[in-house]
Amino acid sequence: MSNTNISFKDMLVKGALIFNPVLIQLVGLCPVVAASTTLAGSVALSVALFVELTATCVIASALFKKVPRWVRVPLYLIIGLALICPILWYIETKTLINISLGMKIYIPLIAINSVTAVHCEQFAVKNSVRHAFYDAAAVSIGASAVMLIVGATREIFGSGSLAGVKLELPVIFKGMAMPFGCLILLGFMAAGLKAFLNYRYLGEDEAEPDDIQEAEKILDSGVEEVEIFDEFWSEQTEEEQPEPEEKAQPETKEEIRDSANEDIEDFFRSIGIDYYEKGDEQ
Amino acid sequence: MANNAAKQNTVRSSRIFGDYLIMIAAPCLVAVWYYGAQFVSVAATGVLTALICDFAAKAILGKTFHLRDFSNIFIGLAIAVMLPAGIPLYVPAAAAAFAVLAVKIPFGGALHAPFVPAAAGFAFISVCFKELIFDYNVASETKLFGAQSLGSMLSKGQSVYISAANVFDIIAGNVAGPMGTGCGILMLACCVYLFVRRKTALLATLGFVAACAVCAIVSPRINASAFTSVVLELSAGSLMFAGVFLLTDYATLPHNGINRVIYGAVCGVICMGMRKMGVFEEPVCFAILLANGFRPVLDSAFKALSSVSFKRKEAAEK
Amino acid sequence: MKIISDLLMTALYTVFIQNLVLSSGLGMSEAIRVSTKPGTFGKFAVMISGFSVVTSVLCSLIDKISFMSDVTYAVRAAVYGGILAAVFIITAVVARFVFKASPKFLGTLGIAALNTLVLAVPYINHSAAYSFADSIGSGIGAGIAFVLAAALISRGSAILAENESIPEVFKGTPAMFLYVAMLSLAFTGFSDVNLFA
Repeated sequence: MSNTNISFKDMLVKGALIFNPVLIQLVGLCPVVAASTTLAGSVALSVALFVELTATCVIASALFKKVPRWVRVPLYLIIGLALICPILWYIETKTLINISLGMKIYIPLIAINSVTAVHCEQFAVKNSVRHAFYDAAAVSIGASAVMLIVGATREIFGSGSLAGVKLELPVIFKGMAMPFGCLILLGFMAAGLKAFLNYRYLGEDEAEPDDIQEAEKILDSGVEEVEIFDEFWSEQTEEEQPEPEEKAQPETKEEIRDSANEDIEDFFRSIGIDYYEKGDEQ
Repeated sequence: MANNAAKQNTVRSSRIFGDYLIMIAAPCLVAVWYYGAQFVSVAATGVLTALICDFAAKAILGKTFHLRDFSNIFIGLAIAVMLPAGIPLYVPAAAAAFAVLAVKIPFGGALHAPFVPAAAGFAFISVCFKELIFDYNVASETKLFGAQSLGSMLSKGQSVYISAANVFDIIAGNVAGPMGTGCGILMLACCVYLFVRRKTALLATLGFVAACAVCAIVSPRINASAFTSVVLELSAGSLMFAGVFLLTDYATLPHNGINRVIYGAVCGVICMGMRKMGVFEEPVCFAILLANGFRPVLDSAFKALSSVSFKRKEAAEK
Repeated sequence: MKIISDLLMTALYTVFIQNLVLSSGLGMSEAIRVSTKPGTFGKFAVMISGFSVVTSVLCSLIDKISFMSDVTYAVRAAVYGGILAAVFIITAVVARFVFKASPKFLGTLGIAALNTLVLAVPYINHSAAYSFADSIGSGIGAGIAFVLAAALISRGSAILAENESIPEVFKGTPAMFLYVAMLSLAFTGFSDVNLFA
């Protein structure tokens, strides 16, 4: 994967927005669905995820490139626990911060989160330390944003408070604090994100040529990542990978444009957005 | 082409939900008879909320709102008849809004949703307002057992002596409970209408009622005769109403006859299991949602079995 | 006899009353991903049950040591996580070098072993004060709960893919979230209490 020219901004847009781990890639759902019931809880989980994911990805990128995959995966768990448990122990024993039983259990479970395994395995061990850090930070920000929105919304509607401050709401929907309430929120957030991506990158009138170029640039590496992400879950390994077919290099300007459009189209179809050309609807 | 499909859907929707509206008129009339303006306000809130949510959602999505899509009215009324008297109006509003916005619209309309919208709406408010949904204190002075519903008596293991004098009250719905679903006689009449209009739809109801009855006999919640257990279980809450109106939902019903019976039976077993081990006095809507989830699994299992038997038949013929 | 009935009751409780995947969100990402491969359900049921049983039994035994009775949750997390990692590494080493397992098999083993569902089972055993038989039952139940959830999601995603009436913005992931939400709501009929609340 050649990504030496990709800036942090590009990776942030890609990792946090276009490939949002929770809303698009459907990874790391456990802490969001089960534990993000309050804003404070979501902040704690977000911090834990950021620390764990960035550190694990950096270590994986620096040290684990030659280690076999089946050894690497449990190492991520051990690294995660080695990072989270001392912090949790310090908070539990040396501070007066009151952590709920749920948080005491779900924060360490971050160490075994699928986000870590997927991003360490599919990005960190194949890229430089700097880019592994960028990717982990971007993904953490994306997941944290979702957790914070979900946590705040669930606390407001499910408990009638925000950050522990009681709000004078006429009605409280207890169901919002349940896992199904979170999944419904995630469904609507995913729909919103999809509509935004459609509008921002594939809109008919609103999209400017610069936007398309920007999308193409970001998606260029993005398509590749989606493919390898799927490959991780389809249990294929390096040893079993079929030789990639030699693609005929596009030569003319039209061919280059067509090739880029196909990539964008493939990507958006892969996340469930129907791609259409201008004028298709007439 | 797309317009034609949409038009066909609207026509089909108006026919199917038109039938349901004719059927639901009977429980609504019973509810008006017993509870008067209280029911009218709850039903109006449910229907209006469903219509407004559908209109708003379709406006946002750039789709056309059809008044002839009677599913919104049906959702509002179905939720209203399952509620107790004296319920605050925000409860039916929340249920109808949930049914339309979280089920009907995202899954492409009432004829395509893999879950019954009204059941989802009722399940949602059961979780959110459990204390209100199963509180039958209002307007229950003249009822057979006062404010005690059959469901709460069964969950506490309290038996009821069924005599010629009180059996009619029980099956006529003169006991504390949901506003419009207690009358077993009317449910039977609705079954007859449904049988005339969509014969095979009732197969699911048949499987459902049979499974519930068998569960009531095999694993009764009260220390009474099998007959008493069956009558009380079937008359309690909204079980029969859900079996006739929600389980026969066009979009979620399996295509095959045998599968419909199995689907109904699965729903019945889940419902009775939830009544025995669950946390809600009336969990039939949760059971329907879970049966909706099992429906595609049943369909594919049935397909697999059919293809195996077909291949065997073919091999035997050779 | 009592041991077997306890085991079965706990397994049933874990599958239906408190379905760990749909009611509690544990291992949900993996269940959604695995749901795209119905052929692997049996394999996953056995593997997850196996890892859950072994890990929860070992954790139950460790919990019996007096040192563990009053440790903080941080220490408990380190111990439980360490046990799971050790169980996985030993299994993988045996599979790789004794049975010459393919890397593909080890990949599947990794997904089945290292997920939130398997690591949460010892916590459930601890918080519910489960007996030895109950621990085995909850481990088996975790595997069955996972496969039940994956099967329901799998068939659901197939009918969502065939449904052309779904509005454009809801197609794909959003509809999938809402579908799983409805399944989760359905399981709330058995229990409306959040795990570890």
